Amino acid sequence: MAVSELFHDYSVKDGLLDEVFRPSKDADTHYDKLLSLFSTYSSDEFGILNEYAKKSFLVRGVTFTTYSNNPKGNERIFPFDLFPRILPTSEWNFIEKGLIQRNRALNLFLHDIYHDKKILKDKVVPVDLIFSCGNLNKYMDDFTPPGGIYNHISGTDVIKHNDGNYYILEDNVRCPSGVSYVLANRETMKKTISNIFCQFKVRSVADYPEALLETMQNVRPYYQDVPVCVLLTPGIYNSAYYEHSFLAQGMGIELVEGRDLYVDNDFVYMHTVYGARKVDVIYRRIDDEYLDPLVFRPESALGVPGLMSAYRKGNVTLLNAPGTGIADDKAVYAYVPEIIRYYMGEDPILSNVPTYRCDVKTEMKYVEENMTNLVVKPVDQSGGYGILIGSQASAEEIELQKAKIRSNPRGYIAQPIMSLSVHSTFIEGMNEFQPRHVDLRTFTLLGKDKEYVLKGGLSRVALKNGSLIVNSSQGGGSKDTWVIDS
Amino acid sequence: MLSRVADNLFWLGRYLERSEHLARYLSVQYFSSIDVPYQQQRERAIVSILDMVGMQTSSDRPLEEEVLVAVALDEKNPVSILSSAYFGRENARSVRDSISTELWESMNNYYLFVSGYPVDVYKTKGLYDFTSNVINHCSIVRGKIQNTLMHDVAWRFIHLGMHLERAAQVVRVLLSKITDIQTLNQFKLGNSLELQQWNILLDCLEAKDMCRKFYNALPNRLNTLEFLLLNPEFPRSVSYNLINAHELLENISRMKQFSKTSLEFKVGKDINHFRYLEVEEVDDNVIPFLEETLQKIHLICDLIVDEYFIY
Repeated sequence: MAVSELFHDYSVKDGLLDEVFRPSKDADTHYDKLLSLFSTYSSDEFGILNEYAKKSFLVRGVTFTTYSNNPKGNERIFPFDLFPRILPTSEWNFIEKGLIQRNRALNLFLHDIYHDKKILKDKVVPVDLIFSCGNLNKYMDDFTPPGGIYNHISGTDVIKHNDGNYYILEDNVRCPSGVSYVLANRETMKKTISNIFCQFKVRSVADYPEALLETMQNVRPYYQDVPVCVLLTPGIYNSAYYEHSFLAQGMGIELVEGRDLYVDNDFVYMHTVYGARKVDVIYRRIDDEYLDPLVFRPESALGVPGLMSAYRKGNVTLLNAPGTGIADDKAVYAYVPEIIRYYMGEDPILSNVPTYRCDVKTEMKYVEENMTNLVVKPVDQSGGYGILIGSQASAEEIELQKAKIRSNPRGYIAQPIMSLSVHSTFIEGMNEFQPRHVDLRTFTLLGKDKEYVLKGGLSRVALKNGSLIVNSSQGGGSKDTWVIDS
Repeated sequence: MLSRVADNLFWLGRYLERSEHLARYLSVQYFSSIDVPYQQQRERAIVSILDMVGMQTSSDRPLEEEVLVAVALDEKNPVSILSSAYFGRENARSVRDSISTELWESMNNYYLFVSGYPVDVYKTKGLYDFTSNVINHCSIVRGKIQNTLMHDVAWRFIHLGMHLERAAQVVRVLLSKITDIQTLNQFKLGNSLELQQWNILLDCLEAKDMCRKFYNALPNRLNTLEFLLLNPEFPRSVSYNLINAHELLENISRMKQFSKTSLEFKVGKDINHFRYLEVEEVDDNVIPFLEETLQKIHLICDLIVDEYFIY
């Protein structure tokens, strides 16, 4: 099969794993069919499809808005690549098992930390690591959330390394975002390249909102048969507002803001045109510290005064539970393989990336001496903020980073620079495909007696040539991810 | 339904109605002024556009081009068509989960059309294209409201906003045009000019054909005023809209017991005389009557806020 002009100048650097092309430029078997179908497009034809796809996001309002220089906001679409990523079922099943194992273990860990702290007493995880964690939430002590679930929704980031293995890059068990883009991308793919789409048996992702609603109902307060579920958003100026409204609509539940809710006698109500209506389950998309101005940040206008008290009385369920941030702290991440062995009695299915804790003297020394070969990350940030990639940093930046670490060793970890796999990505302006690094944001749901993993997830692409940072806030784009029966 | 959602829906309806009336007034006034015999008429048409929008001007003879742009596409002008489309869309965005996807997308598309319209095209050759497309977009959005939503309390709040805003816009159009006619009469330009102005007024509300048909006569002062103020079956008469708004309020209210302190009672008392009003009763005093009506509409809106939109 002759590759079209779209792939004419495609070349992969040595040492990189290209999921679509082998170094010899032959396609991997799964991609044979896909490539031959894409090769029927000329550059111009494909450029038109690409524009059509972009427009369809704009028309549907699948956008995010930044308000840096313009009070009305700069509304942008999340860059999207029409060439899908394929995960054969055999590989996917392995990933799915690994995700469930990992997130179940993190849930048990959270319960233990907020109750008996056995894992600390058994010295599997160092005590000072947990008590120095900024996201430890004292209001969660000795409290068991309904159903015993803390991390109902987990967004675990998975990468494929150039050794061909999958690794967990990080856990996100606070308010992981991005799932709406998976569903929006899928819609766009079906409408834009339907002739290609229909030739594959792609596993559906459309069941996510239903699964999420079932999860919410599954962890309702004990007293309630038919719970009133709501989604709590910071409002239309939040960059993820599209996702909030999309999920609320998909579940058919009310999208509320803090000012719509109030607490009376430890029950939560919303203001309706006909008076108060009780609320039982809240999927909150605001951070812990803004939830309740009476116990957290007093100046927060996003939250609901008295919410934590109602929560501790068991009168309302929050998803995710407050205080889950200790489980996705990047220093705690280093111990997750041990956490899995401790609670599950099994070896981890998905491996960790080796991680150096800067608050351990010997490891700190290694980090300082080898920083040019390491990635340094703050332990409590998300969105790709504050990351330093040693090989791409100037000497000055490295010195600055060292000073930062020395003043707050607990605040940083370092990892070897992982070679994320690359994937064929359409580059606007060049009008051709080039390899770009990708990762995979997966979505796992846990309920009292149910679990669910979204088939595939959000493949995130670092659009800048050579960049390893895939986050949308840092100029990343995304691809549809196809789980296909092999 | 959340009080905040009801508030957003009410305003969605208001901004939709407002921008459509602006676009129509702008278009009709501008194109009717192109071939007028007298310069005063043309200048008056531009001032009239400003009056209707409620914009102040420092000059007696503002630059035509500036006015046309300010009213349509000036994002800094809070009463421009662009701003109305923007606020309407922001209200829809706030309640995206409560309305149909189709309604949201039609609203979004409407805004994208307005915000993407090139100002230089608009200034040179696009005024008709722009205004007629705005009107068409509004019709599409209204179609989605009508056919893709449940006709439940949410729909009623949108319609409540639409009817009250439409009543207010019709009053504003009447005020502007009657002022135009009085101003032009001072120049003593002749009777045929006044007939032409009644025709323009009816065009501004897409009412000319139905008015002629209803009276089997050409428009004059009395029949035009009666038709636009009091006709119970024409959907752009003030009376039609106020009576409908009152009925919507009664439907929204779940109160079983009659109460003299209820919102519906207060509003009903305020607007009921429209049903039995004769145009001759207001003809002598039409401008004060219209101003008073506008104030009543604003008062009704305030009462609705107090009753339903506290959160």
